[in-house]
Formats: sequence, structure tokens, C-alpha cells
Amino acid sequence: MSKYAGINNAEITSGQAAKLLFLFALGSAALILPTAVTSIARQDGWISMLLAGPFNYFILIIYLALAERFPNLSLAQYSEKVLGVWGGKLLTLLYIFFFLLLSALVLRNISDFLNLSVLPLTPEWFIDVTFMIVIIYGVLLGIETIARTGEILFGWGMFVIVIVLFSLFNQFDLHNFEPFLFNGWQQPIKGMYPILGFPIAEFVFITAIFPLVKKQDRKKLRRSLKLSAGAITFVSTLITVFLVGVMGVSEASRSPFAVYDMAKNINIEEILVRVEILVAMVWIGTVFMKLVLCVYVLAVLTAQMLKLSTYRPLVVPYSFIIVPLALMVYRNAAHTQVFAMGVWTIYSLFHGFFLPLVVLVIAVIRGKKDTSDGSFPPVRENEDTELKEQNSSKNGSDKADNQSDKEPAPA
Amino acid sequence: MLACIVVFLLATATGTVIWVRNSNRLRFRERGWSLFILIIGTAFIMAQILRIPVSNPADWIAAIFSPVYKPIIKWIEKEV
Repeated sequence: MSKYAGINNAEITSGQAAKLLFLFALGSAALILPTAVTSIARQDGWISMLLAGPFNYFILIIYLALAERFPNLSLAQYSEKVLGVWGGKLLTLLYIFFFLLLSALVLRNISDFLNLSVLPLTPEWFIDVTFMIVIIYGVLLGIETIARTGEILFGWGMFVIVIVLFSLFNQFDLHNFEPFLFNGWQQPIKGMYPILGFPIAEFVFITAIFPLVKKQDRKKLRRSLKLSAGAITFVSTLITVFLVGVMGVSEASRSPFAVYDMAKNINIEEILVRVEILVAMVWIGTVFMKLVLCVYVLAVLTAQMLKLSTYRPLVVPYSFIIVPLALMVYRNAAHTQVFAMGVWTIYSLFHGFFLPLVVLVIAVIRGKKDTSDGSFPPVRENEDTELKEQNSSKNGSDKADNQSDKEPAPA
Repeated sequence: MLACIVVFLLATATGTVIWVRNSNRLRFRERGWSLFILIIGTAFIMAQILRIPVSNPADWIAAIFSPVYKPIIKWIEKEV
């Protein structure tokens, strides 16, 4: 068997899937989302984060219900079974476009961040291309490698978050939270709007990961995801609390990368200073996870829609689309604000909530259930056996020729 | 112009790798679709380098979903 044979159909554990979900949610949202939420809900932004918590799990319930009906199939595969072949392909095409755009937006986020804060003189296209090379490598190595990387980054990410938040305790001012609920519950409810689309509705990527969870581990999946959703709510609320408590509302809602700016405030007796680069490192890691998962799901959905035997040849060509798309998708900072916080939520909810719900309802009404295996065929194995057969037939004919040469001619 | 040549050479090299690695007849579909996506991507990059105006997909989405998102944004921006 070839060394690449397992990459297409590698398996992960439920814990790894939960960590991937956590890193995906924390990905770009941790640095950008608190700014958007505090600009709407002001000092009550943390309440918006808390209120959005149940939706983290509610949206996963839809995906889990679909996964129970079609345990070994991804969204691209069971949509064809539920909506018919062409209906399913059309739906998958919508998701391919969604993930293509999401990949471009995530890449643009990281290049904007690096360009504004760490590498101001480097051209944006260069940051995009170099980041994309790492992404391509990660996706080509498969989901198992991605999940293991996620486990490492999860530990580091949590460590840095804890360190940063502990270091900011001495600058925390409770007066920044006053007046509490100044406009009643309306502002925190309004503040939930960007959170619903970014990142909650983007969790739809996990529908392509569910079939890859080990069969013996699937019973634990619901529990692991519940824990992950709880952790996402807890960490994002904690970050927003510290953001408002340390920086105050006006500064927090003005800064494009507020958490990074918050880490600049760390100063413990002039000994522990300028640790914001730790935040940048962790954020680059989590964005890497988000982008690698987006590109992986994009390639897998395309391969499944086109009935290809592997997703790997599609990865590099897709990067040729993602990079220029990332460069052109936002025209300026104002366009970023309007699109990311206004348009994206609805577009994301359409793909992350509405369409899966429609598929689930139709599957329930039509009583569709399928336990067939949707994994990629072991192509490399076939190729090897085919080559062996070719060789053996060639050797056989050679032997026959040799024997015919050796055999004495009949008298 | 140099950027165009570099991108073209890179795309040709990638295309050649895809062509060679999928030369088995079991992989003809993969080869075809990969090259199709690669050609679209290369055309997209060339258009950006040559400053040929390309429609932004973000604008399509904004136009399609404007009846839904605009009232919500209006409601959010409304002061109590």
C-alpha cells in the first residue's frame, strides 16, 4: 500500500473533533468579534456573548441530527440522497462557493492583521501566498495531521489566553461596565447579531468532519461537542469582559484588533511587558486551523460532488483562486465593516442554519436514512494492484515466451 | 508584465505536476477538474495583475441578501 493511502480516509477521535471546533470558533473571531460586539452592545457586550452561547450548541444539534441519519456521509453526499442528485449538487455548489469565500475572508483577516501590526512594509499578496503554502501542505497531509496539530495548538492557545488574562488583572476596572444594561436588554440582543454568523453559523464545516470520527468514538461526540460549545462561550465571554474592563468601551470598539491592543497594556512591574506578540502567535495558529479546515472542507466537498477518488489534486488549484479572491474581497476598512458585520451574518446563517434545517426537515418527512459508507475509494491501493496485475501479466507473457522458446519444436 | 510571466510559469508547473501525478487512467476525472480549477484561478490572477475589472463576489452576496440584512442593520443602528 502506498504511504498516501490513508490520507483520504483518515480518522479522528471525538475529542479531536471538539478541539477543532473550538479552534475554528476561536480562529478569527477571538480577535475581531469582541470589537464588533462592543460597538453594538457597548459595555454589555459580554452579555451578548453569553446570550449567544446556547446557539453554539443549538446549531450543532441540527448537524448531529443529520449525522445520526447519515452517519458515514458528509453534507455533499446526503444532500444528494435527500434532494435528489441535481438538487444535491446544486446545494453542494452553494456550499463550495461559501467555503471559497470564507477561506478568502479568513486569509484576508490574517494578512490585514499582519500588515497592520507586525509586517507593515510587506506587500499583502506576499503574506497571503506564504500563508497559503503552509495551508496547502496541511490540507495535503489530511485530517489526522490537522487534528493532531489542533491538539497542540489547543494547549498552547489556552495557556497563552490564561497567561494574558491573568497579567491584565491589575488593570481591570469594574467602573468600565457602568451603566449596566443602560438600554435594557435590547442592546445585548442586538449585539448577538454578528456572533450568530461569525462564527456560529460557520460551524457547518463540521458536517464534513463527522463521518471521519472513529465509529467506536461517536457515542462521545455529542458530549465532546457540548463541552466545546461551552468552552467557546466561556472563553469568548471572558475575553470580552477583560476587553471592556481593561480598555473601556470607546477604545475597545474603535480598535480593529482589540484583543491584540489589550495585550499591549500588560505591564507587571516593568518586568513583563510587550507580550502582545504571544497573542499574535496564538491567533496566527488558530487562524491557520480555521483556514486549513475551510480549504480541506472545500476540497472534500468538491471531490464528493464530482465523484472524484481523492480531494488532493484540487487543493493547489483552489489556492490559485483563494489568494486573488482574498486580495479583492474587501475594498477598504468601511467595506470590511459593512460586509463582515452586516451581510456576512445573513449569508452565513443561510448556509449554516437555514439550508441544513431544510435538508433535515425533508429527510424527516421523506424518512430518509442511510448508513452506507461515503469514504473515498482506496485509489492508491487499486493503482498498486492494477500495476501488480499489469506486471504479473507482463511477466506471465514473458515467461510464456521464454517457455515457448525453450520448448522443443514438435516433430 | 513580469508578474504575469511568473504566474503563468507557476501555473504551468503546477499543471504539469497535476498532469503527471494523475496520469493513471483511474485519475483522468481528477486531472480534468483540477486543471479546470487551475485555469480559472490563473485567469483570475492574470486579470488582477493586468487590472482587468473583475466583479467582486462580496457585492453579489450583498445585492442578493440586501432585502434581509438592511432592515436588520437599520434596527441595530436605531438608538433607543
